[in-house]
Amino acid sequence: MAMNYAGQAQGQLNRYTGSTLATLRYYFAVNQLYVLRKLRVIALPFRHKEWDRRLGEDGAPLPPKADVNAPDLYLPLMAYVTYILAYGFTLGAEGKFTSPDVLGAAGSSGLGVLVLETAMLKFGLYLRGAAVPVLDSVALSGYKFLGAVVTLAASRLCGSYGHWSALLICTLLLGTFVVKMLRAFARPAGFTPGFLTQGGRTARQDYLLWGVGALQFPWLWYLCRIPSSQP
Amino acid sequence: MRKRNLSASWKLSQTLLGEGEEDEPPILEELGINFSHIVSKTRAVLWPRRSKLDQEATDSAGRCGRHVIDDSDFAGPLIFCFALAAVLLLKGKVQFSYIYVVFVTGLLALWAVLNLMSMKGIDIYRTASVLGYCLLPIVLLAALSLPLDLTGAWGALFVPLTVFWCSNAAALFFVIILQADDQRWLLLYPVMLFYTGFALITIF
Repeated sequence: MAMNYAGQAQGQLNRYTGSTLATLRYYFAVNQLYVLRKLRVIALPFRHKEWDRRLGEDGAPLPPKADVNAPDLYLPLMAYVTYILAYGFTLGAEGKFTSPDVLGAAGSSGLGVLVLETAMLKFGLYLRGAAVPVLDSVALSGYKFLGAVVTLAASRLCGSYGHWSALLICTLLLGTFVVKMLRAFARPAGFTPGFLTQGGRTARQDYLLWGVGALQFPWLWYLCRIPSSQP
Repeated sequence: MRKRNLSASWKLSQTLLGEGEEDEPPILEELGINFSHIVSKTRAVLWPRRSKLDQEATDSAGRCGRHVIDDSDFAGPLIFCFALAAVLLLKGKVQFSYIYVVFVTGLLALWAVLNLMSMKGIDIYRTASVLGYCLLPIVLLAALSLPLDLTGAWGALFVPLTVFWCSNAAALFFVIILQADDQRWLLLYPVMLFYTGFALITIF
């Protein structure tokens, strides 16, 4: 049975539409170059100019291997697990690691934030009439765990000062990144962006993007909360 | 007279001891436990060398070649898991269930990611076997945590070393099995996370 599955997986390697498995494989079709470039885009979103996704010959979006603007699930997944472990190490270094159950608690809070933000994104985009695939929203939401890991590391190295400055900086970078990616995803799906245009659009249209960007702060703050360690 | 009285119990003990039938294979062979393979795979974890592992056949001494990796068995991993649990027991931590949960969760996640990321598939038994064998350095770390306090400076030295050692060996096995040389670091990272999880429950 396992061998049969392996054969099936091999047969679907070039098709990214159709079954759920094939759709999922699209998000994991990454290579080392893509990961490096993506990390650079997240760290320096102001320097990245072209945010639109590139399309292949058949009109479908290119997989992450071929397009740095495509969303992927490898980075968010790795960041999520890294976040759980980093949280565990931070607790342990302060002597609060009572049992491996705390890892489960960190995992659930991370998952809860992910699900909540994906639901909010989906709902907000639905109100605007844009149809963005769920996994794209999940990927977008998942990139914040990179910020959470950086913040946890900074708070470990530089104490409370490092914690708050890292929170602010990560919110800024993450917010910019998420807003720009969201615009790029939603534009082909029917979204009419009004972010920072000359005022020809109504202010209402900006709220979703502003909201998503600004909300990164409470998410990050919640994820990096260490029980009773800040003065 | 004596012989006749003993004959029934003699036959019973013969069956119980496995000496009854001549065409029955020895029990280790029936269970699929091959000690020379276990030893050679353990050696491959302790000193991973790509050139040796790429060979298609083994030499007469049974040293590790490709077909030994292909033989996915559970005896070695089970021994290492029990050894880890035993060492942690010496520290006063009864954590058999946590080891099991972390192993199974990590195994499922890693198996899913490996299959999604690579061109060739891998089945779960082989993944489990590779991950279990490469757990050996973590057992050594746990043994080291008995005399030393690994939450401080010693930990900062030994934990990354051990985790990197395990992950390097496991990633090497996976790269060979999946033939995914261009994803070497991408395969290394999730494996590193897996063993960091074990290191975490070992030292805290």
